[in-house]
Amino acid sequence: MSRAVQVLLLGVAISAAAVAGREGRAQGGSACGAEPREGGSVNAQSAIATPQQPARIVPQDGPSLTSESPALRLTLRPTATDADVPFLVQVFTKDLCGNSETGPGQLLGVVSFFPATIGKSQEFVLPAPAQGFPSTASQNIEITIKLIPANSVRELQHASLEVVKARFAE
Amino acid sequence: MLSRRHLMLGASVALAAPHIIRSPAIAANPIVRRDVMDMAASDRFFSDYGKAVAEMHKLKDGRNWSAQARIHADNCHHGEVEFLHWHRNYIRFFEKICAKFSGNPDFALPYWNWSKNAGRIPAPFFDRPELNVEHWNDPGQYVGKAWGRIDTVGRRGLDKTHGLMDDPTRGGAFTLANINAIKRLPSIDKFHPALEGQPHNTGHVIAGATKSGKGGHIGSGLSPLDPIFWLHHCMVDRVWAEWQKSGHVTPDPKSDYSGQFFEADGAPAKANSTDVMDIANLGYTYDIFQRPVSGFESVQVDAKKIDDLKQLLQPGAAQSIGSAAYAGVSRVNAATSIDVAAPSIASRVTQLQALESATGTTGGQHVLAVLSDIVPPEKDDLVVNVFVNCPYLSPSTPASDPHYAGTFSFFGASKDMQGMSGMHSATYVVDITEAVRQAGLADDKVRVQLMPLTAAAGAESGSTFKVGKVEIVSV
Repeated sequence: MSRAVQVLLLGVAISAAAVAGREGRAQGGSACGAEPREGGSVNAQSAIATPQQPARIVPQDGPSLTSESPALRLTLRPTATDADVPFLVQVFTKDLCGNSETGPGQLLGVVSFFPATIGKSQEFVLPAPAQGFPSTASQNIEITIKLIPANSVRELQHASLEVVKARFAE
Repeated sequence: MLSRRHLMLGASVALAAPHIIRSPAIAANPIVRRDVMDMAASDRFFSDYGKAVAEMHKLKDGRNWSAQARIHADNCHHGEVEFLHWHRNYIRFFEKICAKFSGNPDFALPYWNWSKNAGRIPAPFFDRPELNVEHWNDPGQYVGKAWGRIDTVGRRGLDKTHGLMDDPTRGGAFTLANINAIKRLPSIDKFHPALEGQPHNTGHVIAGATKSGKGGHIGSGLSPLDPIFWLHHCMVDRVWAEWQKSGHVTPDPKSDYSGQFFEADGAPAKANSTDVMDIANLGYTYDIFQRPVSGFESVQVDAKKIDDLKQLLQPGAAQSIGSAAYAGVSRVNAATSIDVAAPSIASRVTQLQALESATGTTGGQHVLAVLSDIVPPEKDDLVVNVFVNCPYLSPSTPASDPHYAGTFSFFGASKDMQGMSGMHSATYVVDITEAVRQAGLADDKVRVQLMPLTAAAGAESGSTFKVGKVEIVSV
C-alpha cells in the first residue's frame, strides 16, 4: 500500500470515527424509570461517609436527563477528621438501569477540602466525563462517596463527612 | 457548513490566512510565565528562584519568606469565587519581590503543569537546597486569622519519583482530560468550585500528605513555605486566565486588599480585586498565549473573512510539511529522538482549528508522522510509544501524558516473520495533531520521539530496530 493511500485511509478512518462518536452520543440510551422526583436532594439514610462505610446516594434534583448536564454538584461537610492524616474524597457514579454490578461504578473524580474545617460545607463541581453522563433520569444514578487517605501508606480511621446536597447541574 | 472534504486544505491556504489568528491584548513587554515541566534543570529560573528564596529568608520585613506565608494564613480566600482574585494578587506581588532579590528584572514564575510527567514536582525542587522545603524546615506552628491553628513540618508527601498522578485512584483531578473539562464549564458557579475543589485542593492535600508524622507545610495555611506552592497557584491562575480568554465572565467582588501584600521595595501594597480581572493589566502573560493560537482559544472571525477562506479551501491530498532521515538504532527502554524541520507546523494545526471554531465545522486538519524505511526488530516483542517534544521522556512516561501521540508495534513485520508476510519495510502513521497542540512547539520544527518497551511488562528484550525516515504531513 502506498503511503499516500495509507494516509488517506487513516484520514477517512479518523473522520468516520468522529462521526460515529457524535451519533452514538446523540442517540444514547433511552431513559429508564420514572421522571425525577421533586424534593430532597439525597437519601438521608446514607448521607454520611466514613473510611469504613462509603455514602451511597441518589440525586433527586436536576435536569430531566442527566446526559443534558455538564457537571455534578456536590455539597459536602466534614464532620470529623484524623489529625495529620488528610483525606481525599472519591466520587463514583453508576447507572442503576439494568446494572447488576455490586461495585460503586465509574470513578468520576476526586476532590478534597483545603482546609477540612469541621462543620463548614463546601460545594464541589465535577465535570461530566468525556463520553457524558448516561442518558437517564437522575434518580437512576447512584453516587458513591468514599473517603481515602491522601497518602496511601497512612490509615484513615475517624474522618467522616456529610453529603449535604447532590444534584446534576443545568 | 463546510464539509471535512473542503477542510482538507494545504499549506498555501494556511499561510495565506494569518488574519484568523487573534492576538491577545497584552501590555508591552510582559514577562512570560512558562511551563516548569518543560524546563531543563539548567534553566536560569531555578537558580534565580533559589537565590530569591534564600535572600527572602534573610529579610526582617513583610517580604521575609515566613512573613509571606503568614499573609496566606491570615488573609486567604477559599471556597468562594474571590479565591481567584486574591491569589492572583498574592502571587504577582510575590513574583515582583523575587525579581528584585534574584537580580533578574524579567523573573517570571512558571506554572506547575500537573498533567505532565505524572504531576511530579520537578527535580530541582529536591536537588537545589534553596528550593527544597526540607532544607529550610521553616517553623510551621501558627494560628492564622483566616486559617486557624496550623502545625506542620517542612516535608512533602511526594518525591522525585512519585507525582500527583502516579496513583490513578487519587490523581484523577490532574489529567489533561479533566483540566480541559473544567475549562469547558460554561459559568463561574461551576468553573470556580471545580478548579478549586479538584486540582487546587487535591494538589495541596496530596503534596502535603507525608508518609508519617505531621503533615507538610503545603497541605496547610502555611503552604507558601514550600517553594512549589507558588508554581501550583501559577497553574491555577493559568487555567483561570485561559477560561477568561475563551470569553467567560468572572464577577468582580470589588474587594480591597490594601495592606495585605508587599511591594518589592517592602512598602505595603495597594491592591484590590478589580485590578486583576485581566492579566493584560498586570505585566505578565503565559507562554500558551504567545503561540500562534491557543488550542482552547475561541476566535472571532467576521463573515467576509470566512467567505474569503472558503474560496481558498480546495480539496487536496496529503501535503508534506517536512522530513528527516535518521541512521540510529532504537533499543528497548531508550528514547530515540528525531528532529524534523517542519515550517509553520503549529500554525497549520491551530489555524484550521480556528476556522472550525468560527464556522462551526468539525473534523479539521490533522498532522501525521509517517515513519518509513524501517528495519524491523528480530522479534515481535516490542511496542513503541510515540511522543512529541517531551523533555522528560522515560520508559515510565504514560500514555496519558500530553506529549503522547500514539503506539505502534511490529506484529507481522519482524525479521522472523518476513518470509511469511512479505512485509520487508513497513510504514507506520501516527496522528500527532493533539500532541503538537499540547507540546508547545516552536513553529518550525517537531521532535518525534520513540520509546520502545517490551510488549510484556517486566520482560527483557535485546531487539533493536531502525526508523530511517520521518515525514510530517498534513491531511
